[in-house]
Amino acid sequence: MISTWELFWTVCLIFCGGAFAVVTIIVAYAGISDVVDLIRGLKLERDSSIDH
Amino acid sequence: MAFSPLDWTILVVYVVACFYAGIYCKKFIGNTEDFLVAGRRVGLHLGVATLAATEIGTVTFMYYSELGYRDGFAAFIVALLSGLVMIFIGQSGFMVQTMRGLNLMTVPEYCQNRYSKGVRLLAGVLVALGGLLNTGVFLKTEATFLTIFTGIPERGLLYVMVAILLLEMLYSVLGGMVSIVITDFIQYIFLSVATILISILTVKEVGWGHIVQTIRITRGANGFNPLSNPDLGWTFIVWQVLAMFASYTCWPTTAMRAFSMKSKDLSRRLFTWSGFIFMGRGMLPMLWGVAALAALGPQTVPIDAMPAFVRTILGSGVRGLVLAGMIAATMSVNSSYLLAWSGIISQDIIMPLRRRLPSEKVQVLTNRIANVFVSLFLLFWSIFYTPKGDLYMYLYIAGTMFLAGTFACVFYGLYWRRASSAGAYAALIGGAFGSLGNLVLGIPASYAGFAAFSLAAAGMIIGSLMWPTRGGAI
Repeated sequence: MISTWELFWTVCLIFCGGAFAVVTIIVAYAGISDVVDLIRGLKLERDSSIDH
Repeated sequence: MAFSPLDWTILVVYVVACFYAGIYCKKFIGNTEDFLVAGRRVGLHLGVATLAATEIGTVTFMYYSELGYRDGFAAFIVALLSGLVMIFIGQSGFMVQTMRGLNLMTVPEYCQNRYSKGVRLLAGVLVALGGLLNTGVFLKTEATFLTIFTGIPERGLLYVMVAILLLEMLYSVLGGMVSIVITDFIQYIFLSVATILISILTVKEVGWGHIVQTIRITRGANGFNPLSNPDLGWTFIVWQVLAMFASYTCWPTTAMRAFSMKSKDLSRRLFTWSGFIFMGRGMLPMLWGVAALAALGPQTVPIDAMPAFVRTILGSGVRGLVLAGMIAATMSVNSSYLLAWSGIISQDIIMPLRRRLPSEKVQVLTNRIANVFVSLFLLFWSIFYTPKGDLYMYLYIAGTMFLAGTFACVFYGLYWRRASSAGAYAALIGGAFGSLGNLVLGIPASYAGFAAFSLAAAGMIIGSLMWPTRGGAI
């Protein structure tokens, strides 16, 4: 017989595993533009400090 | 099955790409803020990737799978709570939003702004001590995983670990947080692909029904119910919730991610998003541990069970990808921890001892030198020290040495106007004593951990009421 705890942990595992995969896909896709922004911002800051 | 040339090629390409990306960022480091918090220019998705990569290492997989092997599905409570606490912090902005607004670079820095230089110094010493004891066991644990997983003899593996540590040290010394967040991004993709692959193959190869049946037979109700499990129970759960709140707000690597975000609002959202990853970060490796019990039986050494099991379910090519993922996990964690502890030693111990704050150039150089010394310490400590008992408990109790007191200092400092320097000293000392109760006297970890937080809170309240100081909450 399936106990309440067994059912609870099965549902939790499916939810948490699924959430991990979905958030990872979003982060991998949208993170690239964040990397580009970070490098561009630091580059601009470095160039402006050289100019001064 | 031995590693094929394809497996090794995947691994080498990955390590070279990471190393190049890390070194490339050196030219962007202009001052201490760039070095320690990436100039506070990190966007939401990159922030989530770097926080997740920092807190998901081979050592994380090892201690969570050990818990799963030992306590079955009941261990899942730890993973569930960790995600829920993080989502709560994200939704409420509890502590992190205000801390990000103060433009801090380290947590002990707050102690100087709110209390005194002496409190910052004591907090810095405890953070460095507890942090080094915690991180000091990472290399050996990672080496254990790689030895079992790859079949490389232990002696050869020591050289591999030294080489990995040197690579991490080189790019974190040169490029600081900028190198780390960018390499973390690459590393997060590799390690999450490996995590998902192993989890799918685990259920496919062992079978869900067989896994559940094994826990029913070997662990009984305690394998499902965390409240009746003697290793867990209410004291453990309350300590864990306190430790998670403290850890996610005051743990240096996590706090530095929040401080690196572009804005206060993004620092909150970082926690909400990461909460979902943190549930999987705990539950999936625990599943591997539970499946290892089903596949290998109860006679295996718990910490060795997961790598021995994972080795048997992966084919050629997939092994290389998984190994790259595990190396990614190792590198992302170690490089971030190197930066965090060296940042604390430099900014919160060395700098406050100097009469005048040196130039930015000297501060960055001091951080880099501290980073080299921290690396050497971790290498020697991991060779000569092996923790007794469960790895998870050891890591949490070592961290509690500074977390209980630091959390009390920041929490009461932010939300209680009467918090004073005397209270802060008492909180830091009380928290450290609670943790030493386990490390020195052998009191069970959950009782010692609970005592640490209680002593820290009592120290703060009694100390502040007995010796008040002027000034209000910052």
